[in-house]
Amino acid sequence: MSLYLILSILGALVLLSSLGRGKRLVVPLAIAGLLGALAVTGMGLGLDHPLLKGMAEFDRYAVLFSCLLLVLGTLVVLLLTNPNERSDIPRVEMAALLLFSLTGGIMMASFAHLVMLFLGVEILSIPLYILAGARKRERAGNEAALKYFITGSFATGFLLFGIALIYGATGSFSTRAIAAWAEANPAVFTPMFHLGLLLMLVGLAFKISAAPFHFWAPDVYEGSPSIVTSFMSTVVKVAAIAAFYRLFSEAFPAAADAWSWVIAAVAALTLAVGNLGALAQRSFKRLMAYSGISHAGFLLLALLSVGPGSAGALWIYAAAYSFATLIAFVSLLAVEAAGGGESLEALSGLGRRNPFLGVCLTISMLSLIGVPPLAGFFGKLFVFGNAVSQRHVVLVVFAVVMSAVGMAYYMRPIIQTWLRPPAGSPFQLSTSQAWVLGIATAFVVLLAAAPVWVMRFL
Amino acid sequence: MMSSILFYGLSTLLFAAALLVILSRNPIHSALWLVTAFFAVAGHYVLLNAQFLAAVHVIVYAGAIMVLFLFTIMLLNLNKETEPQHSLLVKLAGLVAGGMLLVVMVGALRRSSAETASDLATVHSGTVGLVETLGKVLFRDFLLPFELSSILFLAALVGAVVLGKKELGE
Amino acid sequence: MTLERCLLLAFALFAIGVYGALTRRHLVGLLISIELMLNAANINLAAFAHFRPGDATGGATFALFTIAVAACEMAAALSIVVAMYRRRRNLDLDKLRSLREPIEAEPGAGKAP
Repeated sequence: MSLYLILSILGALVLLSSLGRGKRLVVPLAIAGLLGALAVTGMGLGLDHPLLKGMAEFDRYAVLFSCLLLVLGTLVVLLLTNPNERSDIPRVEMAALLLFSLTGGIMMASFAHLVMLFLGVEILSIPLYILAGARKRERAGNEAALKYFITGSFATGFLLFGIALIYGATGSFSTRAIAAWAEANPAVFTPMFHLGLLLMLVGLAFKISAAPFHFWAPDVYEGSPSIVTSFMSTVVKVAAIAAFYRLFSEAFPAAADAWSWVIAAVAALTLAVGNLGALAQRSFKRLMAYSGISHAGFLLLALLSVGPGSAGALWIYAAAYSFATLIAFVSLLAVEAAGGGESLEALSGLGRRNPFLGVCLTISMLSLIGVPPLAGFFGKLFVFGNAVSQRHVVLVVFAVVMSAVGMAYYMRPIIQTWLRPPAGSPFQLSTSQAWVLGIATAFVVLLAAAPVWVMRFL
Repeated sequence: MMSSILFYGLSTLLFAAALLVILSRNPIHSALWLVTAFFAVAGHYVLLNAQFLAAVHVIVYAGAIMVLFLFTIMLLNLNKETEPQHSLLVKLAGLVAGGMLLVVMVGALRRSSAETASDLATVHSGTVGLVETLGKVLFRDFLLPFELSSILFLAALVGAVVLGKKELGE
Repeated sequence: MTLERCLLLAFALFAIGVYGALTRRHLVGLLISIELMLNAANINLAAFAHFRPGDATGGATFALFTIAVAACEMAAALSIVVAMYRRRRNLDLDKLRSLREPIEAEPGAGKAP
């Protein structure tokens, strides 16, 4: 409750600050508010409240994912201080829209009633439809916004229709009541229930960009300003997978036989499309889009093994993926600010142009591959381990092969960074970029120490 | 008896209007058929004992959303345009996709028809759809999503303004 | 008038909406088709609330939220449409070609102009 309040008041305050001479205070204000929200969430202050009325529940899962979303959101908002970002939307509105979107993400991590899931998805998405088109003088900007909107609202249609059918079959919207209904009627799962489940799955698969519903992601990532892309590929992805897992583990555990093979098929297809698609890319941004698709496949594996430890594995994987991806996008932003483009060639000689950036980017790519002892390794270890324990051995073998394919394209930025002649003169990072890079890299390295703690907590 | 005549009439109207929405080539005709479809949907809500929902539906859809549509069509001067058509192949693919979806859904309905028929006795009392009942539910059980939907409106408002306004020098 | 008939109607409406969303080339036509899909879901909600036992007011209340969400979506969509029309003078979906996969033949393709 307090978290929703803080974030919505913060968004309104940020908007109001554009009235007077407060424009320079926007980012500090937003950061202070987000850190306050993080502290409140971390200490568990006032999260539960009678007014929640079973609409949302801040259990440990919700608290841990909210913390991750808040940290990621803070880092992205911190990047807004850079003057070089190409965008036609003023910084104040951009900060406010990012905060609203983050609120939606937290609703998706903490819902206990399908109306909160539905509203959360929409509050997450609508600001991003706008932000994707922030380069509104450019054709690519309009096109990105439009493609994102069309696929997003198409997905909303499916999600909503699925919710309606689930309501028809079970007579309730609350995840507890749905789970209780499914427990009570194990033999007579009606086709309506299954159809609703499938339609909701399709709707959410669009949001995490799982194949075959992934086609929008590379285009939208490419056409949006890089700062918005960094938000989409971290906060949106984490919120969507958090909602996905929460829905299927809390509302539909009794129907697991019906949906686990669908998830397995979607995960396998996503892994193949993401990893093989990334091989052909020349633009670093599109490469990261396909990387995001392939990691959606790995995250779906965690859904297959719902049980003790699977939520922890999902959290570690999501955190490892999103911090490493954030580093990649900060590198892209820095290179763009230094006059480079979005192609892989723009990264060449980065290690000599700015050694700190080069090292951070290398660590991020190695973590995305899953090299020990970085965070990505532990994410893969736990997710694969859980899936094997649920006898999805063939799928895990396939996933391991696909992460070997991943090595082929994640090595390309590293090779450009260290082995190619510099594409320009050395440059300095802005203070905020250096901070974000430092914090995100610290997480990628230090999360290796966290798994035991996270596993015990969840 | 009366209600079933009304139901079939409204259903036919809705079905025909929806088909015309999809098939007419002029955007403004599509929009006008959509208004017809919205009124038919509102009629269905009344038959389904959701009077308040019907009122809100007419106010928001016919009043706000359709005005937005028509405003955009007029503003951008699209009313003279006829839509370029896709190739037959794309239409066939769309038809197959839509048709498959319909077949699957109707199949699911047929197989669960035993229970959809058996529960007919439990039709709820007439006051369920009135403002008083819904208002109590909305401000008691659904208070949190109700309040949070204001963020949705604020975000859409801010977004529409920043994206739609003309920049200086444009 | 039974639940089955109502659901049949809603399913048909949803399928018509999906067909329209897949085949319309005009952007406004596509948005209208998406509205049909959302309306189909709403009819379902109202029908289930009326005929099924259990939480009867929940269905109608959820439908109110759907209407609110649809209005917000359309506001956002139409502002995107206006921004796009200003740039391109054209709302044909088949002409959205600035962003696509790189093509092997021309180096540097796939990059936004």
